[in-house]
Amino acid sequence: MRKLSWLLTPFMVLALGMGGTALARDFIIGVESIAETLDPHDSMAGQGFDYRGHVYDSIVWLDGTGNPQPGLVTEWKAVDPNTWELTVRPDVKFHNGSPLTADDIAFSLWRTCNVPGTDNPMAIVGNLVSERIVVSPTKLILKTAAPQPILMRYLGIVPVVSRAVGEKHMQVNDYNTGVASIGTGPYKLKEFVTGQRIVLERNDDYWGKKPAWETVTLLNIEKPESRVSALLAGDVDLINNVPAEQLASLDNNSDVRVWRAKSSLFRFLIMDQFTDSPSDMTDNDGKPMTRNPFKDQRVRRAISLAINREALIETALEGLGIPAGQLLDEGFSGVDPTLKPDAYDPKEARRLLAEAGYPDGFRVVLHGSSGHYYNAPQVVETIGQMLARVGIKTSIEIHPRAEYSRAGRRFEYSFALFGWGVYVGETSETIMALLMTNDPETGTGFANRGRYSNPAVDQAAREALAEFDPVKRDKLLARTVRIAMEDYGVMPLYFGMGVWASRADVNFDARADSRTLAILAAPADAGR
Amino acid sequence: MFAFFVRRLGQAILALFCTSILIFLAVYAIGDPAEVLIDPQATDAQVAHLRAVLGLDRPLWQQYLLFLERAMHGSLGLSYFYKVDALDLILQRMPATIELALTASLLALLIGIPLGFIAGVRHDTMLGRSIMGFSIAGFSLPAFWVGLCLIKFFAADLHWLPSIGRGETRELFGIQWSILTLDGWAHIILPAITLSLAKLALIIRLTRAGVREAMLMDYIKFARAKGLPPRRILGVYVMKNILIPIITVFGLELARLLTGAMIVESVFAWPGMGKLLIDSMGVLDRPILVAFLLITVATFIIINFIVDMLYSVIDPRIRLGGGRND
Amino acid sequence: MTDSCPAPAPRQEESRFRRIAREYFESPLATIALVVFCIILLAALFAPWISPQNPYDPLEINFMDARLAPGSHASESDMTYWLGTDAQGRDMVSSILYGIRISLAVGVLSSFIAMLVGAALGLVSSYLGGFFDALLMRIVEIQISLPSALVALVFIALFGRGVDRLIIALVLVQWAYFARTVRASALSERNKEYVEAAACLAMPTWRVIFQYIFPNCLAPLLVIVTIQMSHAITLEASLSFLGLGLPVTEPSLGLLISNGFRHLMNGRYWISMYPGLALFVLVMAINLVADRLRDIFNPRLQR
Repeated sequence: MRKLSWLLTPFMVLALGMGGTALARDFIIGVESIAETLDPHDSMAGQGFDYRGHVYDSIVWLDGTGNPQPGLVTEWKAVDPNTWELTVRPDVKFHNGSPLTADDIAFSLWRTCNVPGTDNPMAIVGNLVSERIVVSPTKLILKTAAPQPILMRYLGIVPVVSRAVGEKHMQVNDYNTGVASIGTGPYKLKEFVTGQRIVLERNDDYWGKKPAWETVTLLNIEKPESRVSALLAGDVDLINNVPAEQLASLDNNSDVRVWRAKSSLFRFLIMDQFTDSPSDMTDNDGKPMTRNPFKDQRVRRAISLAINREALIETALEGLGIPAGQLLDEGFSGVDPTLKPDAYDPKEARRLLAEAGYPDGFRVVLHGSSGHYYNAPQVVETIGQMLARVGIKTSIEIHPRAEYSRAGRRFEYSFALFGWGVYVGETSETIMALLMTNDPETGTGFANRGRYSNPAVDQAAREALAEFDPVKRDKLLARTVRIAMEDYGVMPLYFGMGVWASRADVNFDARADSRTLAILAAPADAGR
Repeated sequence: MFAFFVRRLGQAILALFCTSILIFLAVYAIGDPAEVLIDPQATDAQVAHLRAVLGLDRPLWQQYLLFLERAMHGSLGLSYFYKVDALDLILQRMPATIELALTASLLALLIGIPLGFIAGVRHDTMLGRSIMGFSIAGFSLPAFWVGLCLIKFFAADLHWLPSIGRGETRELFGIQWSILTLDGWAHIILPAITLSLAKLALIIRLTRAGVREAMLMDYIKFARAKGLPPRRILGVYVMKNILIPIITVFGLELARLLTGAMIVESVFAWPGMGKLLIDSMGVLDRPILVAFLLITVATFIIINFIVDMLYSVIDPRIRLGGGRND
Repeated sequence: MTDSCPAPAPRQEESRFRRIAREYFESPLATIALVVFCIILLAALFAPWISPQNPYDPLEINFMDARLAPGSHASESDMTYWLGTDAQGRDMVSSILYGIRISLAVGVLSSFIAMLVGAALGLVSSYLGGFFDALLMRIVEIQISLPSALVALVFIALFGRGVDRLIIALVLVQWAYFARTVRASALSERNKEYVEAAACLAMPTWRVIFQYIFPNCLAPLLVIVTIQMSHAITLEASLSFLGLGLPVTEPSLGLLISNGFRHLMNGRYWISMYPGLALFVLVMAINLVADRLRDIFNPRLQR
């Protein structure tokens, strides 16, 4: 081949020159998982967001850390704590040519709670709004039952569909077949093969910045090593969730570029702080515990000090993580910048355990899941090793995802690895779900798997959640986080990281919300 | 002949009906798909809502009646996960599996029969023994590990062939086939080799056994004594003798490949039915599981039926005897 | 069996055993296979005493030694990782020894249970005949025609993971082969004169079955159980590879291979290659033994 190359070069240049311009406009993304259905209101999972970010615009545009920016709605203000006034962008057209009005936005909000045959995953947003009043085609008034200071952040995740089309074709399958898949977004749906690929073509009438690519294909390539080999072979232009094992070799490869971003994915341990005799804990002789060590803050702190977060990330995640000392990393809202991850200190951990009355530790089962969080089994095993070194004999149980979620919901695990991702770039939702007292009536603490309950946290959280002023709100949230973290309501471990890799001729905007969108990528020569 | 046909057909339909009930009960009695399908961050109210929407809160017999009613209208239910008709989804994935299974079977036949002949005719030579040794290795190599090694050498190290997926497809009779394109062949060759290994070993042993047996028969000895050329003896007389066992086994093995290729499909991310099944198991997508198992059982019943019919044509004694011997 | 000696005396049994042994060791390949298998078996039995570390004890594994290449030295002890370490810092030699132990245990246990279940059903079926026999043989036919991987997968997907359920699943896909074989040999024995003679002497049925018919089914059973053992080990490995086998904290060979899959592409071949090799050698040895036994007992017996 090399010998022949001088002969072939002129032809290849010619071929590239002819094909190049046309081919460069086709953009293929290899994704780990692809939207299961094309119903824009049928998923809160990353792959759902990634699909609808192409075909639909959401009510407002969110930047990488969840701050609302003008989108289909250009201006908004809270007239009173329960009333919001929204101004709709005037000259936006759906893919079928019909104009966008405030009524379509009202319909889209209604539909988040009315998707036939589903659990209405987006209802958490739709339920915030109690009344939708269409004043004029460009004016929409939303009423909320309770004050919702960050309503606009939530609205930023709701894709807008057309009422005319959506009322005629309500079913999820109508979106799969394409008859209902009419949005205002930068790309139009061209083809969908369930579980395999989504082909999109450019919307030439897009109201915003002109999309760089003529066609975009989202290709489902589940296996991480397969995504990498497809990228190296040039079969795809961009891949998401690059496996950590491959990062070093990709970093040194001049054909590709690696893009990293911190993410809002929070990984932590829950500790049962409710029951008096946790089921899977015993003393060193295998006898049931008479009291629950996790109820003692010193024990919780000892566990935190016994975990070497840097080494954990290095070993179990091959570097793909950031040590965590709170609910979200710096750069998001409601974060206390002075709150640092606990430094590794096994001596102090042993001292604290002895002080709490467990000089020789105890036995505990640490639960983890497979096929859920990235490398969770490895993380759990490594933590087990670390805890064993301060005397806490930890055995590991790994459960399949389904069993894990169910048991977690039923508080069956005393000690387990869980994760939480935020949609709104702020700690409020995390505090509400993970740290406030579990109360099925009000819905607070609905993901509080350790049933942690601290009146000081509840009080501070309530104050923070009702605050409209962004600066004050940020401070109040940070204060709540600090109280809960010093008490180890949950045990922060690390934040996940988003990693993408592209061909060398592609620029990609790696965002903290882990979105994989064609509009975040551009040909390298064109600049950004 | 006709009576035999009708009786066999009746048995087949009855068997299918009985297994359908069993399959439904087995799949629907266990687990809670709602927990799997729902977002881990969802609230309890959402889980309850989903359970009601999917009908999971109803007693099992009601769910079965609903299933039967839908089945009468030609639908085996909507996939919980993809929310499209389960049967459609499986049929959409079927061509990929069929072409993979056929390619693997052809490979096994085209390589296995000649090797088996050599091993049978020259059973005492080094060559014959090596072929037999190879066939035992073929049985012993776990398919997934072979797949991994092939990917490692031919895709990752040498970059000769793509590592995964199905190549470019072209339409024929309204169905997309990848064996009609060059790119498709590049993609299919590694999984097909992996899938064919065990079958290849089986064909070699069958052929060898058949050849050795035939060589001892009087009519072959007679043909040799008469001075017929060895090529004619092997190609016509011996071949005839081994064809029936090979057809029988091949039919069954083809069916097994169609429904049992999930491990190879999973290694090579081949978008066939097997991979769909594994994905569906992960999320307890009951309608797909039921539809897949029904299709599997139906395939076996149909293939058994066809083999019986072929048998009765080739060997009328079976028809008169009223059934195959075990 | 061709040699139908009426009521075989123990002495003749012994000479028969000798004859089999002599025939077996005539093949050098089969001899090597048997020796290899015995070595592996002993290594697995004595794994806790001969392996350099206990890969299940978190205190013995050092996560700082993760993913070391073969021949590396441990950072906190004077141990050498001859086959490298995995992503948790476990010594691969130890992991493989313990993995073989688990794979073998599951394979042997499930095959023997399947043999007991299948042989019992086959014997009863052959003796009762009639409707029960017809029904059982239909079930056997369906069971054998379905791909074993599919049956085991569906079973585990439905009933959940765990060693007990894994063994049940493996028994489920194996018993039919035993039932079919025992029934066939039993039927052919039943019509022989000595059985008829025993029946004439008004011996109880169970005695006829266990004293005369069953011993004559042993030879084919031995062949089948060896073959099934290798199948069970391979199948367990495949299930573990798909994440439906044994728990990750006590990995079998299949799970070790699966864990190493992700490292295959970036040069850390040892994490999945060596367990794969171990699995291959183990299964190949068993298959060679089975092949030889089949040749000795019945050259015409087919799969």
